[in-house]
Amino acid sequence: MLRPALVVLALATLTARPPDRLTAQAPGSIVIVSGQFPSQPVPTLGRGLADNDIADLLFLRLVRLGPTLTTAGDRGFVPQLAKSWTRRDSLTLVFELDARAKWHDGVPVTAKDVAWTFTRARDPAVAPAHATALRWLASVAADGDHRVVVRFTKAYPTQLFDAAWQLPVLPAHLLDSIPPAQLSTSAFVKSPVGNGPYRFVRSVPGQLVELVAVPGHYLGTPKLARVVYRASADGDTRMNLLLSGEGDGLEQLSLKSQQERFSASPDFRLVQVPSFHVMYALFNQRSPSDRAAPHPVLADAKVRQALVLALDRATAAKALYGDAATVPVGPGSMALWARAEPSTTAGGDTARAAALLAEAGWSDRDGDGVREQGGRPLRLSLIFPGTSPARRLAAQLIQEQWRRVGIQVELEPLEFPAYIERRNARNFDIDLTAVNQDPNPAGLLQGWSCAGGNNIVGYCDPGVDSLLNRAEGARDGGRELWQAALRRIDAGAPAAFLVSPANVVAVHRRYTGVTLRADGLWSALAAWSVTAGSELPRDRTGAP
Amino acid sequence: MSRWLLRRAAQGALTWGIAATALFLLVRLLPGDPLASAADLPPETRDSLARLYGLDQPLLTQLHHFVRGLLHGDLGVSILHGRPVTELIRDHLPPTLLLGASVLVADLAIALWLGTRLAARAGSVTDRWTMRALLTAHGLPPFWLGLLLVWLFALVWRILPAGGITDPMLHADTGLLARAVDVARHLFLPWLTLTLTGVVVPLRHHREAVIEALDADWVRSARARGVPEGEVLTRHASRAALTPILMVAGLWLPMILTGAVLVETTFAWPGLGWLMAESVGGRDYPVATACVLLGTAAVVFGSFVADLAQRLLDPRVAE
Amino acid sequence: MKVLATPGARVAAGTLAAFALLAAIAPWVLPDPYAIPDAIGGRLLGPSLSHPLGTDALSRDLLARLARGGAVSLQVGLMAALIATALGGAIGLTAASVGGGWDTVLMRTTDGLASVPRAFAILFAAAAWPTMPLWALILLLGVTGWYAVARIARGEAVRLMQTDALLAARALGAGRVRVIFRHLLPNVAGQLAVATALGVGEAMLLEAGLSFLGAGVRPPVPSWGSMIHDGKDVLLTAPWATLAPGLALTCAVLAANRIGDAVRDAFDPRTR
Repeated sequence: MLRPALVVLALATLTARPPDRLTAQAPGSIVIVSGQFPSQPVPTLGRGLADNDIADLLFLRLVRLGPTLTTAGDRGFVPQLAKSWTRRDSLTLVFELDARAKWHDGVPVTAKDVAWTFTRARDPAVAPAHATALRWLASVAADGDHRVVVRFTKAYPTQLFDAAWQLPVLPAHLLDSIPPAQLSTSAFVKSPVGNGPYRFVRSVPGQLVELVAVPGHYLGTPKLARVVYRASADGDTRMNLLLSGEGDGLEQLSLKSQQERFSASPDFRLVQVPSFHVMYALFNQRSPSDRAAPHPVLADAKVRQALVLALDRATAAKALYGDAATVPVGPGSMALWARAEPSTTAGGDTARAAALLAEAGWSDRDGDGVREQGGRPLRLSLIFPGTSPARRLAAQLIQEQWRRVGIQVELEPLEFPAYIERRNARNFDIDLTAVNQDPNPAGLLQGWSCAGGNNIVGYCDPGVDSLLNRAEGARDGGRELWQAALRRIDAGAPAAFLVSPANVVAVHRRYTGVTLRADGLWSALAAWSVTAGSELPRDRTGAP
Repeated sequence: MSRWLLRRAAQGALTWGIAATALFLLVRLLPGDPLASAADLPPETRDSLARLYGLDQPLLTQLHHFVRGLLHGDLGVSILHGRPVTELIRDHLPPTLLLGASVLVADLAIALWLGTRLAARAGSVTDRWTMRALLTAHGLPPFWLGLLLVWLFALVWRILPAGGITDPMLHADTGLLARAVDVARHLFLPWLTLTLTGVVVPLRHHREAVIEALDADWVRSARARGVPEGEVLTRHASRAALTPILMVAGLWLPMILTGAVLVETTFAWPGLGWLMAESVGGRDYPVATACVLLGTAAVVFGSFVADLAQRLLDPRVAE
Repeated sequence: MKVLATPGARVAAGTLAAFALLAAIAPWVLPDPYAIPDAIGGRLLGPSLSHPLGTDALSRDLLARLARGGAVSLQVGLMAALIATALGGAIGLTAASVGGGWDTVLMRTTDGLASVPRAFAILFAAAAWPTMPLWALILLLGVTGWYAVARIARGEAVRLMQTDALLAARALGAGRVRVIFRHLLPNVAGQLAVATALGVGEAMLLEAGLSFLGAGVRPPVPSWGSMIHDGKDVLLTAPWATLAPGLALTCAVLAANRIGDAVRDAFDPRTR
């Protein structure tokens, strides 16, 4: 008699949920699940996605991007810390700060903070990534408490973007006394003080970060009181956390199989957000074993063009991502304002590809299904990080499409550090890579100009260089020039530009006013709220 | 006895030392850039990071530094997490110990209790079908079983959590009992996976040993004297069957460690197996070294315990 | 054959034979396991006449992939177990027959190597050689699995060395090699057979686990482990993609273990 009772008791204990505290009004919470832990959510220090997500909520920039995501010119931006701006001349911008802005410790935000932040950020030893972006800023000076004067060394169209969006503002009064080298281990990083609509509460290393709303914030009191950012390294676990009711939001669910897991669930809906992400198969034009020599197969432009035409990229995009992806023209992601659309070769042309290969001297003489030339089979290796499910699927798909035209491609899934090592050593034939682009198209110079720092395969087309340089300096932003450059890169086939997938985000249905931004996904959380009557217990739990 | 102890302990230490050195070097010889996560930083920053972690020095110098640090209890700083390795180990060891201990206790308890019962009914329908069921469970791939259990309990029935060790949303002032229940709910599925797939090994040993013991002359004579069957089982048969159990227990550690890596990954159980998989995959040298050394030490210790148990229980066994 | 005396053993042998047969006839009867006929409309189809087990996320026929994966698993399992037994047997018997210092050295080395858990060693090797071909994987599994076999073989051989038959043979001047092959090996063969059979299941599980983690057999070659991994992403919407390879693996491992038990029973002196 006792034993069954014990068993029942044990089962009941195991399946019971721990009691949640119900207190008076503190409406709304959200648990965001992410793949990384934000260990340094401070601008200039943080590097990963998670760091930027939290920093976006804690720290405000002078402006944010408007709905068109344009980065050129002076218009199309939305005020944040700066309530207005004027241009004095082609080299000077003046910003008026909103006097209501305050740091979380009560001290008002002043122009001195802005000047101090930029001075720090331009030092390559402190913030190397930002120093490059801000290299044409001559000076940032405070004129009184609420006016900032920014001077540039040259006139170029994205001045305002660089001055007002690149860098959220840091509190000078708290950080001035800390030498830059010690910032990353300082107490400030463990408990950052910002000026955004949310303030930092606690961080459990490796597991979660908790933020709480700042009541009476000048941009509006957030309607969601509590934000918890939960880290889990495994993709499956992240999705399961949402589906089992322990999470409310998760991004990067672009793959069709990932979308399907949530579209079947009644608790979640999927939101597509344009992203700056592009996936492409980069062809190494130099020999992997001897960088001075051209690649025996891929240096031939006809072979590369054939490789691109042999692929039905439209089908691949649809198969992998459903309707959440487009085929890019050159490296132009779907959110890049200067992208060229649509791609004319997205459907592929296997007949033309076969003709090009034959013209280049590759045919299948021995009937084994693989073309050869001079006894050497058309065999290439493709490297990619094995942990990326999207690239794993894409690799198998394009391998099969290439097999049909007689190109044999061997897949080499690698662990991430090994993948990076092979990339840095240029030891590959094809690199299935993906980038998250800068919203500013000037970032294309890094990867696709002859002298670009990220141009690791030696792609060099002086025509492209000229277009890119002219576009960067064009007064009107240079949209046509950027587009022409992208088309020309596309035609030269340094890579097969496969897909630009949207960022698909699963959001719990109980939220209204949901806004997700391409330039900072969760930065508009303050406008979200929980529909009355559909609260979960954790929505009613007060802040600790 | 003490001579044997000393000799065997010294042997174990030497084995571990050699294995540890080899593994230390092997970890650093794996292809892959430990600073891959810093790939987007400029070369000067990466160089200073390399200097900070001693990655630019020859392997033997790194070994020397490591041994010196080890003697002071300093295992270095994790490249991926930026925290001291000892802290990480301290955080991740208890979950693996909890999982391993609970599985060990459950497996032994079930093996002893059920094994004895089945031995007494050897050949019966119950015996045959129970053994078949347990053997089938043993053949299940643990990572697959884990997937199915998560699917069933966490996604379909929603009565257990999907992963992790605690619910990080618990209030700061939640009581101890509620916290214990929370951990138990998270522990249940990984524990079930490892227990189900592993219990048949000690159970089979024990069952066979009891069957053999029940057949022995002195047990038959006890029966003939009229000793009740229950007492025969517990007092005479089981005691003789202890040796195989203890031997298996000693060899348990490598099995736990192997199963732990896959199961911990499936359930996002933040233990040493998970940490090891992450650090080797991410080439986080200091952490990977520490994990691997710990794992090897556990195996060496386990085999030492097995040898010791064997010697204690049966001094006739030659070396 | 005594091994196949019980119905259980017969079922087990039949299961393994069925997998082998499926793998053998697949190229003629089933679709190409690598072909992607319709990546948009043909993905994750349920079981049907044209696709008895349905299709995977890239519209490849799951039964064909299962068959091919079975070929890989059986091949890896069998050959790795054979290598492990051959190595372990050789080292154990040599140690026993040579005796003395060499015996100690060999056995201590075995202990030392065995102190590295097999999973660690395999993960390490997979990390060290990311593009390992299949033969290297088989070799790796074999080379990490002989320790227990060596100990068992040596233990048995040492006991045998003391028997009258062997003492007589050595007194008559029989050479070491002759001793090993004519006297030791036949008597140890039973244990070695058991070890091989049980090793097959273990090797199959290890290969599947490795492929599940993404390290073992490289795509697009299917392995039951990597099929389970690919299928877990669609467990909610297309459960057969994970259930089929998992069940296949379980059945194959159980069958191998059952045959191992049958072999052990056949050689058990009590039932002879």
